[in-house]
Amino acid sequence: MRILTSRPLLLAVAFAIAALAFWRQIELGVPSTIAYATAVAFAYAARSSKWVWIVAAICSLLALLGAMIDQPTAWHDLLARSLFAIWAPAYPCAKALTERAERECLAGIVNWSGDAIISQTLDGIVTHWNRGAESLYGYMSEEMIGKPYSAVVPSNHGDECSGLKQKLRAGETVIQCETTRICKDGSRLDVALTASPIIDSIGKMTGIATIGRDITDKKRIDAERQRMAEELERRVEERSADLRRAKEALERSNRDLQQFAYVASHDLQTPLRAIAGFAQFLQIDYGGRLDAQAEDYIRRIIRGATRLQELIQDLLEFSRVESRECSIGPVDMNEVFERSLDALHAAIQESGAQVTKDPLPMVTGNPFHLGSLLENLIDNAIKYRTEAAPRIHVSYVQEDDVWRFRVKDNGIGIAPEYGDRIFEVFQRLHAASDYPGTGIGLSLCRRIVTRYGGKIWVEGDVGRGSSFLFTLPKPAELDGAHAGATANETSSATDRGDQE
Amino acid sequence: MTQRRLADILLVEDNEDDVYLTRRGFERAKLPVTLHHVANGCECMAFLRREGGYEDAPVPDLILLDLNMPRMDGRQVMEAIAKDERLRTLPVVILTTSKSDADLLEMYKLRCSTYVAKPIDFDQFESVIEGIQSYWLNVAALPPKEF
Repeated sequence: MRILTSRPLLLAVAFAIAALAFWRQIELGVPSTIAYATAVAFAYAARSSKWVWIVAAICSLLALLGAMIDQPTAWHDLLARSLFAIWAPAYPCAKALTERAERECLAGIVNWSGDAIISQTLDGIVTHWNRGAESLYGYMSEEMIGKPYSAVVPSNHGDECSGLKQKLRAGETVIQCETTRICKDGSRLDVALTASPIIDSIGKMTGIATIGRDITDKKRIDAERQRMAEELERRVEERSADLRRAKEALERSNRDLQQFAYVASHDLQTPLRAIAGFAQFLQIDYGGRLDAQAEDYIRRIIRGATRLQELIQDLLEFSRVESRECSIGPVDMNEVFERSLDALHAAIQESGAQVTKDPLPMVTGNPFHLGSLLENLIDNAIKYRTEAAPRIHVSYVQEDDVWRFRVKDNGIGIAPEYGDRIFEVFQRLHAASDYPGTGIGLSLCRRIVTRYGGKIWVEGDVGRGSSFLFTLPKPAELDGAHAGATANETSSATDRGDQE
Repeated sequence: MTQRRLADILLVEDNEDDVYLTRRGFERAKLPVTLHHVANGCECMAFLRREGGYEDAPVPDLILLDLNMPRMDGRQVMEAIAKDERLRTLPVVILTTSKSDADLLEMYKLRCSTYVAKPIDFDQFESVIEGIQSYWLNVAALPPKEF
């Protein structure tokens, strides 16, 4: 029934009745019937302007046929009047229908929008309340239209509407703001509002349109994100504080350790020297007046003190691998080798050892560490000898990104099951009386090699000699540079080996 | 240069045993020296400056300085000597137990004359003392005494 109340249809019916009256004065018959039928058809077809045109076209055809049949002689006149009767109402009817369709389309968009679209008068009385507003605020449009908009405004926001109004009156066209609204059930909503003025055809502001969107979730997510960011920051802060504390503890512990090493180096050795020294005085001053057992005791005291000092010295050396401040740079292993031989001169002479080497490469490290490493390995090879004169050879091969060194000897060898144990501090496989030493040498070697990111291990078996292997990082920028530098040293090293 | 008179050597050492060992070393080597002993850095500076009971102290030909001592240690003595216009020409031999790199470096930075680590074996210690004596009192030409 809604269709009949619309203006274009009323217009069409009015035209149809006028046309009918016009025809009645002349004559009744087919044209009037057609005109009447046309008007009625318009009324029913008026759902769309397209159908107005289609019905008009069909009726025109019928009018033509009717006129020619009814009045074969004067059909022109009749047809002209019929066409006028049909097309005269068709045009305004179609135009009105098109406009109405557009309006309905827009109204549909507004009405079905998920956002709450509301219009109100300047006095704050709601004039439109779409479905979005219904679902957002919980009020049905029937409940709100004609009522004050302030129903959804929290009491402490009372002057907000007038503020909006004043701004819009002042000429601002669009205002966006975030605010709070109250729903029908009393809950509060965070909404983003866009307000714009409603202006009539003569430019006078008649009301305000607002589009509201629920931003409760967005607000909640923002707050959550903010909270998480703060939480993260707090955790990072905590973590950094932990790390700082750990670092300080480590530094303190390192200082303590260095202090301990220093105390060990100085304070432990002072009484030791007194023990050894005064025992020697006993030997010197009372030499003739003591019996053999007393002499033996004194010898043992001196030997014990000397050994204790060796232990202290070696432990200190061991602890210094980490604590000693040392420069790391390219080191020529050939020079390291020569220096090691110098340091071991006495042991080499005494044992008649032959120590030889291939040309050795440059490595990255500290000369003292590397010297200590090679010296200990060669010293070990000399110490754990068989009846035969020790023959020791130092060589290396190139692996992916490391040099792998090998110190091979013809000594007593080592059972594979002890391969790891010998690198532990104070782990010895033989009594100190059989093979002198403190049991620190190889662990010192491992500590040094590990410090440079390398590995050390032993190969061989009992009675077949042993090979100590270790890896050291290859200095990338020195690749190949060593070959020429070391070529002429092969002979000298071999010479030296032959001499010894 | 040799045998002109008894050389004065000042031993700065807090440990009595070490003092005894050193004194014994000098005695056994039968060296023509007078060994003066002070037990810490403060006494050492008093001796060198002839203050507080040391008014009659001789200017030593050589100072044997231990590093770790109570009250004023060897480092502070080295610093004080280096700052003192009259004392800085005195040869100072560091005679100590510690062979730590840090100590060695620090002492040579403070321009000590020699750094010697005491060996534990008395025979070796004796030869060290003989070495010090023969080098510093016989081989080396020392600065003239100013006072």
